[in-house]
Amino acid sequence: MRHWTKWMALVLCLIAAGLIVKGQPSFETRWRRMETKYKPMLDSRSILIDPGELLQLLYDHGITLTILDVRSERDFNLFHLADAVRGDIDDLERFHWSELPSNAVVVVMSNGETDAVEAWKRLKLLHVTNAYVLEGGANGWLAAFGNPAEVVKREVIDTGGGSGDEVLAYRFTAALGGRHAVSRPDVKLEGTRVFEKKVKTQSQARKSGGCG
Amino acid sequence: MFPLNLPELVSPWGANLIYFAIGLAFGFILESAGFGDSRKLAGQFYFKDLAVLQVMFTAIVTAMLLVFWAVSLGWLDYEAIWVNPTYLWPGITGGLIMGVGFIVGGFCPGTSLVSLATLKLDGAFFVLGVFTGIFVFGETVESFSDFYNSSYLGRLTLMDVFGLDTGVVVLMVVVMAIGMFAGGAWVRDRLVLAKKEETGT
Repeated sequence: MRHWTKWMALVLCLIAAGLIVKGQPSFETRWRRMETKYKPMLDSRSILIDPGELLQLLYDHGITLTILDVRSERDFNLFHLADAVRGDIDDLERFHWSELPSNAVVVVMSNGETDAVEAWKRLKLLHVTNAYVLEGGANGWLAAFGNPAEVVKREVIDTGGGSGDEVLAYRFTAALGGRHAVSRPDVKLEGTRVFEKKVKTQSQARKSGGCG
Repeated sequence: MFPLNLPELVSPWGANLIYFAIGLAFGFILESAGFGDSRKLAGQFYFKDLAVLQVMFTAIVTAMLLVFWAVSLGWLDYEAIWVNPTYLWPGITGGLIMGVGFIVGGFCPGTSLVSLATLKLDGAFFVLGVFTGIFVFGETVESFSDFYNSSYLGRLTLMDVFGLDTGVVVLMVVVMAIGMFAGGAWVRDRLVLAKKEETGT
């Protein structure tokens, strides 16, 4: 190699090594940059949908619904909504969000709202367009549609030192996962609730690229 | 923050004009690098001419450093950049077919268009072949759609594959590019030397 090319190679290596020192932005940093865009949606609760609206979506064949459940595996196995998929908040990149069809709606749920909102923030950073949070989470769902024959509200809730919002407040007679009656209640029950419809599907232009 | 939403910023037509200008600049650079000449391109495979390796890897390294430094500084949203989804085995098969086509025909699809722009006959026939291939593929893809859609891995990057930090992977690619520049030049010099000795000049 000529003299100047050796220097050039060294400079390139130093620029690349600089990236190791500087690192890539964390979730918190990225969220701070996007906060002005998304925080008003959280403050106005416009992304939190009523259990009644989610029940409607469960029976809406005009959309592709993904229910993302970010609760622990234990709670998920005990009970989850029909066709829900479980994901860890810190590992949501593994889902192929960019492949969702334009009529897709993603509803995130946890036992309460805290974890689901955290997951929603991550989905927004991954550019998932039609993402919503289930208002009240699994506890809200069970309060709305739970049948005392299969699910009973706990008298005393041990939060285990964690957030009370994120503790499953109900006891089940069996761990049936998504096979409880309350996992997919009768669509007629939606009429028992009064709620404001918030889900609006925005189609996102499909991106592609490549080089020939 | 980048990438910019051009159709929203400057209207769809304005965005199309910008894409056209970028395309022209890309074609101009390819032609300036001599990539409209199939002999120069094919020379790469016989270690006679390293321009393809040098230009392509320089572009890769430059773009990679700019992208990841921009991400690191908060100027670019990496999640908003399109990354071709990986279909492993169809990708390998397609790469092999394209590689053989590159050696035999002397062009890749992009450089054949550059060659056509300067009215080179071999480039024109290559483009004709490309369009014929696209047509045949489109008509037959249904018959092998299972394979075509197999081994889907989604948005997969080297960082995901190796489980390493971005900076480490970037440094590895830079070192690999420098190694290939040096190794390629070494092989080319040995071949030139051997030829000189053979001809006695």
